[in-house]
Amino acid sequence: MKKRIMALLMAAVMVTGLITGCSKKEDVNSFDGKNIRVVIGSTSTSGDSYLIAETVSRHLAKALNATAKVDAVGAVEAVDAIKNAKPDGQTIMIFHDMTYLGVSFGAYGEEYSLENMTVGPRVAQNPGAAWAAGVNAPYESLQEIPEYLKANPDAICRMACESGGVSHVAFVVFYEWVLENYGQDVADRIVVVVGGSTADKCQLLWDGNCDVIFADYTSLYDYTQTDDQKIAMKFMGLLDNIEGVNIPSYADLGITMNGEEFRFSKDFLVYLPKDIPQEYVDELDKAMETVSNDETFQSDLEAMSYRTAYLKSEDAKTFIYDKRDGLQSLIDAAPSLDDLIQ
Amino acid sequence: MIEFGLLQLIMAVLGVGVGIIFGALPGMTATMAIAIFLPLTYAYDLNTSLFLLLGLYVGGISGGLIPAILLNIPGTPSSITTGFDGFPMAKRGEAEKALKIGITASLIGGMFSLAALCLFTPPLAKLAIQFSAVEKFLIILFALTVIAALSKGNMTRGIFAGFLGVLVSLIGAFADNNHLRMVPDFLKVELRSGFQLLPVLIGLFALTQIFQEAETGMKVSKATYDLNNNDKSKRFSIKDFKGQGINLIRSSAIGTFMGILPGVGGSAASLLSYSQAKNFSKEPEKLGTGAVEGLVASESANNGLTGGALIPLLSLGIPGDSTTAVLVGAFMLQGIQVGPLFITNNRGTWYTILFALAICNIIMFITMFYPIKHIAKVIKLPKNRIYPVIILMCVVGAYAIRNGNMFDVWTLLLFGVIGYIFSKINIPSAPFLIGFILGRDLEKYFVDSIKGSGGSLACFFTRPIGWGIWALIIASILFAVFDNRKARRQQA
Repeated sequence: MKKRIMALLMAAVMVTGLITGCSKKEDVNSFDGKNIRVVIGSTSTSGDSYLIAETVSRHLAKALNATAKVDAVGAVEAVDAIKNAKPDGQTIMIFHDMTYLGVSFGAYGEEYSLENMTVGPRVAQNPGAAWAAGVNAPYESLQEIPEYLKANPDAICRMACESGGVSHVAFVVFYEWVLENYGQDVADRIVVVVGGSTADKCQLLWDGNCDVIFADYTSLYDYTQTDDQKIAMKFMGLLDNIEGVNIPSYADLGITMNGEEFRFSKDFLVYLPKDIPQEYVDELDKAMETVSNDETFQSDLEAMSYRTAYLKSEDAKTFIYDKRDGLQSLIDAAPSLDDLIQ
Repeated sequence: MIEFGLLQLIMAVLGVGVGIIFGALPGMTATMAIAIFLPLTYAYDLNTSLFLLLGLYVGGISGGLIPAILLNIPGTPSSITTGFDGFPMAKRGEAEKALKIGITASLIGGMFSLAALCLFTPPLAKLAIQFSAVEKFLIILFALTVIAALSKGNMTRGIFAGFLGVLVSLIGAFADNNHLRMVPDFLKVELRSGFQLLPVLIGLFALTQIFQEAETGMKVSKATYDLNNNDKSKRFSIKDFKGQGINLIRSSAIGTFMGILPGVGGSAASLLSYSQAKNFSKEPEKLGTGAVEGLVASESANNGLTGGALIPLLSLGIPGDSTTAVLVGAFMLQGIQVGPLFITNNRGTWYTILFALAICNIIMFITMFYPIKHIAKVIKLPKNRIYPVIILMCVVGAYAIRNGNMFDVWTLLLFGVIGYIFSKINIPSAPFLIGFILGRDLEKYFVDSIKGSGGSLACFFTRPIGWGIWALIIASILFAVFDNRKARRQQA
């Protein structure tokens, strides 16, 4: 009897498995019911790339009726995953401007250019990139640095940034602006110290090995509030204004790019494999629009000082191509960091 | 006010249990376990999640001793030195004793670092930031001197292997300018971040050993180690710790201190404490042959790291190691910034962390110490059955390290073969691995020091803390040289 019941159960399990297996909508161009691997261009699970991708994926998965898992694989690995993934909706990438900056700065090859992937919707923005200096630095803002250097001909200012990233762009814009407005002598005394993570850059500042560092506003905020003189910092300028934060941006300080106002927020977009059917993109647009209007999603992002910034795929593509092309001439004309190192 | 009830207890037990499994599986680490469970932070409030995350941390660090002792395969990079003495003990029928010594030393190391976290966080954090890139470079150099200590009687080959390990670790992109080094064109994507540590480690230890066994044949299907002996000297007793007091304190302190220094990992902690245990030992020649001293040094140091690494994280916002760096994500997802004001602004969370860490260490001890005699029986499984399972676990572990990267599996196999060749030409694998583990940090802090000094090498000789570390480096090398000469004389 027991054997019969077991056999019956086994048969029932097999039939159920076969039915559910056969009914899987593999050939339908939809995210519905799929396991989506969300690759990001960072290996860190504490930076803005992970935090935004994780928050977006969690909300997006509900809207798509799918499961999403963020894989922090690193920049080259992420763009490579999108380049080689099947266009079946099971692999997407959520990443910021480093997607195209990596190609623009030559960190990785043309085969990973935006043209070789499908641009999906813009999902969020991080406006909080900031420069900060030690609390006792003899200048109060980025604007005062060239003034200080002009008044002190033997002084130098060492600025820590990363090669090939957003901080590289921020530095180049500032350097070119100083060169244009204060001349070669002052610009020559702004030197680069190449730093890695925020922790590395903080340590460089505390060791006295650099004077100004570039990092996320939120990650530096506590250091601007402490009384401990060894680690205390002050903000020197933001790349873009943050709502409710009274720190001047490049635009407020008059730091321009080719004479025009410069603002830079990290734009986080979804990227998909090149030949993905349009149905996926449309579905993603619709879901992301719903998610962006959700107040819980908005407050989740705001809690981390990020903001919703939905753009549907078509507009996001135009936006990111324009942004890339606008920066390309600056990157091409800028001196190499190797030449600006002390 | 600490919120602690049944839910928190379950989370802690679950965290420790899963952490131990992750630590014990070659290729899986505490960092990976925390990263996987990070999104759960949303389902529960931060304080409850902390019991799970800290459980994973403590369990993940502790679990590594099981395969290191039973199979000579370090479950985590920080348990490399555990196998140096743990495995010889297991081979002579003292597996359960070795495991229990390791677990007890882990508990003591963990509690020592918790006390440091609880009582001295602000001053220790201040001390940590006095250690610039120069001091960190010198500490890594100091940890490298363990190569000399491990190469007794075979120093030239050992040092060669160490330098080769450093060279291999530098394969990949140089972070400062993104230029690729020593990378063939067809591997520029796969090797951009170089060879991953875990496949290299597992390949060198696990696969090499299996290849060697395969060569000699596995006719003796059962390991000859006897677990059920009635010899009292082979059973664990608290008396095994007799004479280990100073070693325990020194090693726990080294582990805690290495945790405090951001960017100096757990492997360096256990290597350094192992080499110091050898230097201070009355019978240094016994280390590496199954000495309790070596096992205690390794395990108390790598668990000492846990509380230590939380010190700079919670007081400065700078993670002490890769695992605590992942923990930052848990706080950030809850909208809590970890920085110099964290303790002042989040008293409740701070006390919860201290309490959770204490509870997790105790749970780790209970869940490992009592059932370990059953786990130890794995050593009695026939080799022709256990080795295929180990290979499978290694391959799965290597594949999972970067979320499904096949290149890491090839790395595992490649270094298995390299380790096998090393054994044929009498080049020791351990110094190679130590060089590989420390190589990138050595370069990073060297370059950072040079950046700060404007290119002058004088920076390595002008700082008072640096002088102290130089003295330790020189003493350690001299000790190793004399020890090597003595060993060669004895061989002659």
